[in-house]
Amino acid sequence: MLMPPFLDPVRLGVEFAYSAIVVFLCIFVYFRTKEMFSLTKHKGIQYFRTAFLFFGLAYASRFIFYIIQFGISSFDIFVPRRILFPLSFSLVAYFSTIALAYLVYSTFWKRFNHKHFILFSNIIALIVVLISYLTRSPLMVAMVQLPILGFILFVNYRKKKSHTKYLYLLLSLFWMINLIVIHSRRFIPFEWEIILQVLSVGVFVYLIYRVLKWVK
Amino acid sequence: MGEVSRKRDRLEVIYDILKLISNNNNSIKPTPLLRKSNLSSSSFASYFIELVEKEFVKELEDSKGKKYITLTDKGFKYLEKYRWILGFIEDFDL
Repeated sequence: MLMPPFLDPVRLGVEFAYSAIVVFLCIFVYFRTKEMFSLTKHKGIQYFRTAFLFFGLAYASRFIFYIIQFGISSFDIFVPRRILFPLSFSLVAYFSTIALAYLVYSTFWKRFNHKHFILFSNIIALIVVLISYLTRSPLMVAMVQLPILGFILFVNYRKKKSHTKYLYLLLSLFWMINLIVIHSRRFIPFEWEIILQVLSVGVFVYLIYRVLKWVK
Repeated sequence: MGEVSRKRDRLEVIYDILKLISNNNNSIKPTPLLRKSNLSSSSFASYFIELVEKEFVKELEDSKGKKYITLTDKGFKYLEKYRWILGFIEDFDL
């Protein structure tokens, strides 16, 4: 298969490795906390796990979007790119918005126990999907998700003793940087992209370290 | 257990009930368990139903028809993991 001139196979390999590592780490968190949840049915644990399941799906769909965006998908043979492109991008927008919403809600569900949270978060996610469909711009999705990041800052700023203040902030921030990188990839040097990916993986590894402290 | 002045959360109440059963040689009658758990009858009943449904405890009957409550393997596992679960919840602000 011929590759477009702007797509470097090394970049594709790095992108694949990065996505695979992050997806693996997210799924790892989801499954390692399964027993804890099944024993307690604790809602906070449930929202936390769900957030990482959706983060995993968001990073996986981001990689699919990446390969479709640069026109190297062999799916094109069966489904035209003009359909695949918005479809894969809508999945990125949906999964990531749900992940961010669940991550925020896991920390304050006790103070704001909303019966219709699932419906509410899905409505927000569908609005983001609509925006993503209309604009086809990862940068725009990042801008729309920015208020969620602002909310994380606000919620954690009000907490005097927050153990997750910086961790959740970094997870959300790196997700948005990832969207910006995929938007302006051609203008960002490869070295910078790798540094960002290494830092992003570092945040996930730190998360795993924190989870493994309690999940024996 | 015993002198409880603050409001206990759900996980702590479950832990206290299971700990009471475990400390009583894993066999206790429902009435002393209710008394020692510091809960109202209605709260105790709802927790007890939850514990049975989650298979943390089971109710046994001896030859004279007297009822006893014992922990299951899952109940023992909860007791064992409780500290870790609490640590996790606190560490991640859940």
